[in-house]
Amino acid sequence: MAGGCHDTGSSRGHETSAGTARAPTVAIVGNPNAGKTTVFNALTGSRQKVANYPGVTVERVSGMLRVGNEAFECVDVPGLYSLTPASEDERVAVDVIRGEGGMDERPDLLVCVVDAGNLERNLFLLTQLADEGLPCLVALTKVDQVRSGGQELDLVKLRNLLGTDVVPVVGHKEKGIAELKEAIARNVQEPHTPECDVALAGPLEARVATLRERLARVGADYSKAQVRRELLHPSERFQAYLNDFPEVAEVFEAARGEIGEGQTPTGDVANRYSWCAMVQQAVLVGSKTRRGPTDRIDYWLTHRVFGLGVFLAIMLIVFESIYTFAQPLMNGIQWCFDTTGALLSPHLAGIPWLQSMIVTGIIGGVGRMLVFLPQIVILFFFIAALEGSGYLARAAFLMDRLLGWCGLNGRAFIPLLSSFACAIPGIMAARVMPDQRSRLATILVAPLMSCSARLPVYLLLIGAFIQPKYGDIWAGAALFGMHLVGLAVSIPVVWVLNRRVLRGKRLPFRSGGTCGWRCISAARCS
Amino acid sequence: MLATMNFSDLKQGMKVRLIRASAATSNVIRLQEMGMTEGTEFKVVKVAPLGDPVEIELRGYRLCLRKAETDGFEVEPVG
Repeated sequence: MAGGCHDTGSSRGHETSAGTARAPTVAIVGNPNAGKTTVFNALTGSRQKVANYPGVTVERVSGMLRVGNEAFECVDVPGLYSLTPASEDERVAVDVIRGEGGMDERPDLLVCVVDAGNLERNLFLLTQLADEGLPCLVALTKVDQVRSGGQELDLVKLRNLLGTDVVPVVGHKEKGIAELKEAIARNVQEPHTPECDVALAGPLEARVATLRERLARVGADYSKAQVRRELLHPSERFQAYLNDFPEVAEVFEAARGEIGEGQTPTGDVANRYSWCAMVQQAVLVGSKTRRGPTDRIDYWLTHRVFGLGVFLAIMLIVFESIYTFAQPLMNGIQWCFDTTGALLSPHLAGIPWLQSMIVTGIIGGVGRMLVFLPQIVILFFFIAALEGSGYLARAAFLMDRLLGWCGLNGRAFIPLLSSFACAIPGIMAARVMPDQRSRLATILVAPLMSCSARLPVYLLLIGAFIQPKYGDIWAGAALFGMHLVGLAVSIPVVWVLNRRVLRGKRLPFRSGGTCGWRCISAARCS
Repeated sequence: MLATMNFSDLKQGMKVRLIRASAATSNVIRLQEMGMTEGTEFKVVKVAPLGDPVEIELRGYRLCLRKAETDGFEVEPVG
């Protein structure tokens, strides 16, 4: 039965770390769904999978980037919202940025991918990256969408406010990629750290001013952003000032003490967001006038009655087409093998054991397996189409409550649907689950979904008992029903797993409709 | 304003303002990091057919939230 499960293969055909003379490392960071992987692919010429829901890149992937004669190691890391990791993939990203968790060193340059259509939230991450003190430049994506939405972006102002290079790119059209490559080479040579003028909580603001004054008195010129950074992560050079000048160290210690009190996470976040909102106001001209057809389509697809109807109809269509569309192809394959067998058979009549081995064993045996190929191909086609069109995200929105009461979430819908094709990609897809507990639950449930290797058995039984008696329509419905049985069994299993075995909190939803439909050709979101 | 509400009271199309984010749990902090800071106004774009999750539009983007994840947030209607 396991015969239907395909080779897991090594889909990650990239150079890992360079080894000998180390090339400068450039890490591509940014919010989930900001377009990091598209930028990475355009830079390195790789073909990493891009999809329209967060969490597609779940481990670091690296490739070589060449600019003229120079080579850089380019690292694509999972998307993250902040430097306080909330999931395993965010942890990977933070480790890369901070050079922790088995990373050899911090990257030499960060390329922060910022979604122009979602500036405020994307800039929030940039304010945190600025505090890390790493050289950073901004690749601005989706500018074309902002423009087509009726707004204009003042890039010069944005550059001034951020204090870094800002390169607009359209990754899938290779627009701006040459400029981005140049900017990367330039910034590795002459590093710049962003200067985000984020306000500090009341008394700290004054302390930092005093600190800057005292530093200036001893001949050290530090900007507010730099001082802020040194407060959080004092550099060696700064430490030297502290050791040499007690009057600087005194204020420094006082300011450090205040970070603990005055600078609560909540207040800090609010201050950062006010800065982000200010920047957005300053650089975005005009208001969003047009909203694409996405909203109207979404309205119906997530409609109380109609939406659920469409969901069931789509699932039914998927299974019906596996049954009906695949039939002629299957007959064709069957015919090929039968004919080959019949043609070869007379030539081998002299040696009965060889004839039996080749005709019945090899040709018949391989044929028996290959006959199911069209069905598996059709199923994978549908999964890819649903994923590519963005319907999976809507389905997750619809299904969250349903999967939710037993402890899973809408996100689990993706690995679980993949498990209908084969449990192996399904289990692999369970990596998108943001915490270990839900990942384990998803992995344990995935094999209960009827994988396509079970399809031959269903088809054989349905073909023998249902189809001749009740016709094709009922045969399709029976096939659909068999898949529902797997789902029905999984519900009590997950329930038991969550209540008895894997205790803990349920993971958050917070993904779904963050972006419009991905039109495969143009990738225009609403 | 006295008319404070929880996320479970939200209806499609409502415009509300976040007035309080109590409890510094990791979940509340994360949502603040995603822009749900006090004083932020947002629109309820849609409530899922089964009543949960809720999709809201804040700071120019959309966010889906389960009602259970929004414990600790209080909102008030605007306009």
